[in-house]
Formats: sequence, structure tokens, C-alpha cells
Amino acid sequence: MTSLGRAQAWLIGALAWVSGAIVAITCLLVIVDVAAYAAGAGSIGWTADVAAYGLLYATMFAAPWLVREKGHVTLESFRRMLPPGPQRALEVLVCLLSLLACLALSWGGIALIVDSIDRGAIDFRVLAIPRWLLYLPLPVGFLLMAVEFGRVLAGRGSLYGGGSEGI
Amino acid sequence: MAAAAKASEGPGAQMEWYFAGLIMLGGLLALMAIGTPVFMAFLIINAAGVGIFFGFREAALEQLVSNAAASVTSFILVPVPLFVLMGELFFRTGLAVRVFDAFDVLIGRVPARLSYIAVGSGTAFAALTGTSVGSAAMMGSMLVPEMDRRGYKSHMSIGPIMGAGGLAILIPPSALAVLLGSIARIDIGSLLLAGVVPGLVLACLYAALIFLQARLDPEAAPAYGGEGAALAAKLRVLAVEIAPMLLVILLVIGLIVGGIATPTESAAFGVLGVLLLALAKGGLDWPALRAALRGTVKVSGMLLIIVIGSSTFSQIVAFSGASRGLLAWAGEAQWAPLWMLLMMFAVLLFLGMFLDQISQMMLTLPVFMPMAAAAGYDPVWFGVIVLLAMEISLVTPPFGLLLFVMMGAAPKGTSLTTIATAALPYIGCALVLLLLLLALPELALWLPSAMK
Amino acid sequence: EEKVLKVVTGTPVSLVWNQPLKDFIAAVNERGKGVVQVELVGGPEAVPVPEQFRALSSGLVDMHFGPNQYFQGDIPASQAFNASNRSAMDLRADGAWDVINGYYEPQGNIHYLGYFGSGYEFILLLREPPPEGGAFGRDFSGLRLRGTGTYAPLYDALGVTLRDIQVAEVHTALERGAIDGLGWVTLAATDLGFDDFIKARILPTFWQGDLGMAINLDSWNALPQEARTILNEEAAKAEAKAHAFFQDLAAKEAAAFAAAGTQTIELPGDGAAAFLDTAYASRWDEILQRMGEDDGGALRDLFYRP
Ligand code: NA
Ligand code: NA
Repeated sequence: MTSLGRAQAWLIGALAWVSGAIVAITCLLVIVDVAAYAAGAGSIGWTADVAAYGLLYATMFAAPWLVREKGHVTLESFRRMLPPGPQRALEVLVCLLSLLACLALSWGGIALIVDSIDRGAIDFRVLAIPRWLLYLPLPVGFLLMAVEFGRVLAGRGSLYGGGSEGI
Repeated sequence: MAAAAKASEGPGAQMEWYFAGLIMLGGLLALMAIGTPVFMAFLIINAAGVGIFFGFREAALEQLVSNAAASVTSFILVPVPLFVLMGELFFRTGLAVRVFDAFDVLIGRVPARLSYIAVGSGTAFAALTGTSVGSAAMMGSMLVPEMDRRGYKSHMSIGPIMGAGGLAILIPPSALAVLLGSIARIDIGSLLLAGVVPGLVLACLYAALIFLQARLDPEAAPAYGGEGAALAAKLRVLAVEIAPMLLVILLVIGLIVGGIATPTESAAFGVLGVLLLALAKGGLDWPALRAALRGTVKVSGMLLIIVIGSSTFSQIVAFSGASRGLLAWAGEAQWAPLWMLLMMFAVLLFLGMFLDQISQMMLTLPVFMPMAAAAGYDPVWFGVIVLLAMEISLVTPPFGLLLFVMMGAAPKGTSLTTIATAALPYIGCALVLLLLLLALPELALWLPSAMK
Repeated sequence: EEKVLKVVTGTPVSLVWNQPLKDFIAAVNERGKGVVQVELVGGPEAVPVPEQFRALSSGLVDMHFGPNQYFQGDIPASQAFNASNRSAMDLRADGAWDVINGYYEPQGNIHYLGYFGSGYEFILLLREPPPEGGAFGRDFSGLRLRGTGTYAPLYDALGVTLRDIQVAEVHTALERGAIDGLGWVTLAATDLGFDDFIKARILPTFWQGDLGMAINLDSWNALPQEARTILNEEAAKAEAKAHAFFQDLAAKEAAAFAAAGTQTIELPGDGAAAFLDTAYASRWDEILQRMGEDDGGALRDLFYRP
């Protein structure tokens, strides 16, 4: 494995842990919030904001790791009826389409972030949050996924054979 | 026709609705069939779709990405990872094994007893917390691996959990029923009450189904061990193993009923309860915590990224005019009331294969409510019928969130086909309930009229 | 050549909020045959609420109907409608839309067409009548009320704890007592079944609705003069009609609450004045802070007459 490959593996693994940490922190925050106002000590107020953003960050940060871990749901019944040659050909096609879509979405995401910073757009919830923070995890996740699909395309690893295989 | 006049407008102009539908739905199915990960299949077809319907420009891509950001920051989803974490902790800290062993001692040789327990506790939990996906994910990660280890075939473990998960929609509290009531302008109090009896009937139908399945194929749910435990032993496990777990579940439900937490917030206390319980039982250590967190990221990440893909897909289908075309076509039908009703139900089931519940309701109800009124159906009763269709659509492929939940919980090598097949008899139960509601509308309408 | 404008609405199509839109579409399509037509594409199921501004601004849809709060993240001036206490007809007569377009057009690439929210206001709905006392005549401190970020400064001033609960969970939260009430509008609470739990409505009402109709600036500029005239004139008619329509609905809502046994509690003279000052100041302070004293102040003088 090249050092660049190791860096990618480390990065997606670390982001997956960040994703887990976000779930744990959300949980803690909700408990503290509910306990605080049940005890008459007021309310944090912005818990729902953090929970909503947390959901998006946790999802996008877990997604590249799930590609590596073969953790995404895939239908394999049709694929498995084919001989190995066409199977590999289809896998290449799938990776290629996925790679293109991920790149397009990353591009859209980066354009969104740049545009939101330019406009100074704000996401008004209980907190007033700079809007680019809402969009930030999307290109991060999609770019890292693009790299993962690129890896499979280059013959390093496969999309299939994870927990979701079989007819 | 007006549509023909519009056809000449620039990019994004109307194409025939069935053609737009064919591109979106056909493209999606083709991508899934060749083995594209489900979330990617949605995203690829979304990217193609915005190009076709909005024009190939940067603004269209930006809209796609920003819609994706909006889709997963929805409140209905907030409890999902929390309930998954609760189930994972329950399983990884060894609490699940202890509770199941306790049930073996307690109930003895009843065939398929764990399936009944899945339906019973799943119904109570899903119904009272009001979140289908969250509670099914919790029950799934908690029960399925252990049932698998005890020799249950997967349809006897994942089937009951999917069935019970759907009940969250019918039995109050139910955010989806409230949304339905507000969009369809049905009295919400009545609608919530109207779901109670049909929901309980459906739970009984599930139990009958398990009884039948266990009779037909005894091997699927082995009736091992447990005989001859003394009353003292039974009381002991009841007090030491089962009562504390019931306490945790009651904590979650009690916080909602007692008005301390909303259904969303109660999920976090479920996690806390299991943590404390595991601590008391000595099952809480770093490896267990690590494994639980890893399992949570795996299951909820896999689910939520599909939600990102599918809700954006729903929006593009809505925008493309495909669903409006289908509904306009349905709206022109001049059939007898019963056929009209069945046709509306069929349209809901068809859309339910591809779209999420909220999108379905916003799309169909403006067309269906006047049709139902014209056919002479009671709006509250019709609302229950729509909720039933929503419940079924949670387990219909290719897009059925409960199917994906089970994919995360089921043992390695379980395919989507196996899971969808396991759900089939439960869809059958829901259809039986539909017939019962048709024959006996009081099933839904008696409780609201008695309470008002 | 006939122009077809696609409009997206900010609330589910079947809800009452869209009645003015439907009236407007019918009128334009009748009068505009061969010139301009408006086609309703859908609501939040077609374009999710937080992203409707972007869809309109970039021209993916031509028109938008709905709460102008959706634009507040990008156009601070859009908050003026919610913070106003003047009718759409008066504002139009005073040329307010030209002032508003001075912000909407450069900041959002959007042309403002009309205001459909002046017929209804905001109101506090509570499970129990609050005790007497305090600067407002009634003591709200310690209550847990549902609201959004818009309410935060007002609730702070009232000593109320803000609970940011989604609309679909409000019914359950009221039923279980997880909240003591909510800030809402003078419509549609009975539609949502809140009247089962609400025992007190607090008067005076404050703020007002901010339903607006806007069109993408490029789409607007591409229209022939005849089409623009039709849209402008029909928007003006629809504004007046909507004002009466919502006033009528608000009266019916008040009657429905009375029939359900809900008390109407009027804050006493001084308390009411302090309450209104606090409510409006909470909105205008934010607008002035974002727009600056000069621009924000001019907007306040136009939209708000204490
Ligand atoms: Na429920
Ligand atoms: Na489905």
C-alpha cells in the first residue's frame, strides 16, 4: 500500500469514528437538555439544531468507510447468475457510474459552499449558523467515496462480498 | 391539451408523464439490478434526472446537493441512530443473552416463543415511541443475532420485527398520522384514535401468523430446552433478568406518556437506561462500547445515506410531473366507489415501492381526499386506509426502509430477497386488515365516536 | 408566444395557506391566455422548504409562494413582513414593494410580486391561563413553549423556555404536557387538533403572516410588458382578497376556540403595550442589526406603525 493509500484508509476510518462520536454526543446532549428543563433549570434550546446537523455529518462521514467495509445495501441476485467475466465488467460499469456521480455531487457541493460563503448566507434555526457548514460534509463524503470507487476500478478490492451478499 | 402547448418550452419543459416516470423508475431499477449499491443507484439517477428536468447546468447540481442536505436533517430521523445504539448496546454488553436465557426458563417449550416476544415487545415499543425505523432497528440489532444463534430461521426473526415496526404508524403517538391529518385536513384527534383498534387487530393477526408458521415448519423456530424449571427459578429470572430490562423499556415509554420527553428525546434515555443496566450487570467494558458504536455507525449510516438518495429522488419525481400525471390519470377514473378505493390503494402501493411516506402523502392526498369524499367514504376511515398503505410501503422493495434496517441486523449473507420474502406474509396480514376495515368500518370508527 | 411560469409553494398543496395562490393562478390563467400562464408544480414534496430560496434564485423554478422567512438567511429585508403591522394594501399603496425589491433583486435575484399574509397574526396558545402579575399583566416566566428561532428573543424577554419541537410532534407534546403551549398563528390550530388541549388564548396578537409571491428576476425580465402588467394587477387583487380571506378564517378560528371552551385572556392596557413593544422590538432589533441603522430604520418606518 502506498503512503497515500494508507492516508486515505486512516482518514475514512477516523471519520467513521467521528460519526460514532457525533451519535454519542447527540445522545448526551438530549439527556442533559431534557434533564435540565425537567429540573427547572431552563433548556439548552439548540439541541434540535445540533441533532439535525449531527445526523447529516454522521451520515456523510460514515458513507466512505461503508464503501470500504462493503456495508452498503446491494442487490446481488442478478449479478451472481452471470459468469465471472461479465460480473467484473458490470462491477467496472457500476464503479464508473458511481465515481462520476460522486464527482458531480462533490462539484455541486463545493460550488454551493463557495456560493454560500460569498452571499454570507445563514441557516436560521434556534442558532444562526453559517449555511456553508450545512453543506460542508457532502463534498467531503462524496470525494472520499469517489476515491473508494476509483480504488475498486483500479482493481484494489471489490464492492461485493460484504454482509449484504447472497441471493 | 394544455400539456401539448407547454411541450415547446425550453429545458425542463414537460415531457409526457409516463415517459418521465419510465426514465426515473426504470433507470433506478436497472441500476439496482446490475449491482449498484442502493444509495448510489438513487444518487446516479438523481444526477441524471436533474440534468434532464432542470437542464445540465451547475445550478441543477447545486440544488441536488442542497436538497440532499435538507433531506436527512429531518426530525423523523433523529431517533434512528439513538435507537440503533440502544439495541447495539443491549446486544454487545451481553444483556440480550441473559434476557433470552431468562425467557427460556420462564416460558419453557412454547414453539416460536421468541417470535411472539418480538411481536409483543416490538408492538409495544414501536407503537408507543412512534418511530417505525428506529424501533425496528433497535429490535433488530437486539434480537436477530441472538435468535439466529438459537436456530431460528430468518423469516421467524426478521418478519415479526418488520411487522411490529409498521404498527408504529397506526397506533398513537404517530407523527405520520398527524402529518396525514394536517395535509388531508382530517380531524387529528379522531384519526389518532381510529388507528388504535385496527393496530391491535393487526398485532393479533401477526401472532396468529406466527402460530401458523410454527405449525407448518416446526424447524424454523426450534422448541428447545427450558422444561421443568421450578417456580422459584422462574421467579428469580423474572426479578433479576427480565424486570430490569422491562424497566428500561418502561422508562422510554414512561418519559413520553409522562410528558417529560417527546418521542424523539426518549430515545436518548433508552441508551442511558441500557448503559446503566449493563453497568449494573458488569457487562459494560471498552470493547463492548466500541463494538456497539461501530455497529451503530454501520447500520444508521447505511440507512441514512439511502434516505438521502431516496428523498431527493422523490423530489425529482414530483418535480418531473411523473407522479402528477399518474394522479391526474387516477383522478379522471369514473368507477364504482369500491373499485375507486382499491385503485387508490394500488396507486399508493405502487408509489410506495419508490417514494418515502411523507412525499407520498403530499403528492396523493390533494387528489385522493376529494375522490374519497365523492365516493362517500368517511375521511377518518379513509385516513386509516392510507396509513395502512404507508405501513405496507415500509417493507415493499426496492425502496423499503424496514427491509434495509433488517439488512443491517440480519446475519451475514442474508439477501434483500430473503428479507422481502419474510415480509410478504406480514403484508398479507395488512391486506386482511384492509378487507376487515372494508367489511366493518366500525373497527376504525367506533373508538373515535365513543370518545367524543 | 405564451410564457408558462412554474410556481412552487412552501406548504403542502392541500393546506389553506395556498388558497390565495390558487385564486391568483386561476385569475392569471384566465386573463393571460396566449400571454402568460402559471403552473403549480407542487410544494415541499417537489422542492424541500430550506432549499426553495435557492431553487427560485437560480431559476430552477420561476415563481415561489410561501413564507418569506424561507429567504431570511439570504435577504435580511425579508424579515420585515413578519415584523410588520400594516396591511398589504396600505404597503402597496406606499410603494413598499419597490423598496423591498431594492433588496430582493440584487441580493436574491428575485422580484417581489405581492404580499398575502397581512390578514392573520401570531398568538400565544397555552394549556393553562398564566397567573396575573409582572410587567405584562400576566406572568409567563417558567413556561415551556414551542417555537422556532424567530421566537427566541421574545421568549427570552418573557422568561419563557423555548422548545423547538416539530409541528408533527406538537400534538403529542401538548397532550402529554411536554410543553405548556406554543406560539402560533391565528389560523389552523384547530385544524391540527390543538384546541383539545389549549385552554387559554392570549391577546393581543402580535407580528403578522409573511406569505409572499416572488418571481425569479431573469424570468421576470424575460416577460413581455403585457405579461408583467397582468401579474402585477392580479397580484394586487389577490392581495386584497387574501387579506379578507385570512381575516375571515381567523375569526372562525377564534369562534371554534370559544366553542371548545378556550378562554380568551386580554393583557391589561399597560401590559399589552409592553408586550407588543417587546414582541416587535425583538424582530426589528435583529433586522436593524443585520441591515444597519439607516436601511433597517427606513424599512421599519415603512412597515411598522406603533
Ligand atoms: Na405509534
Ligand atoms: Na416501499
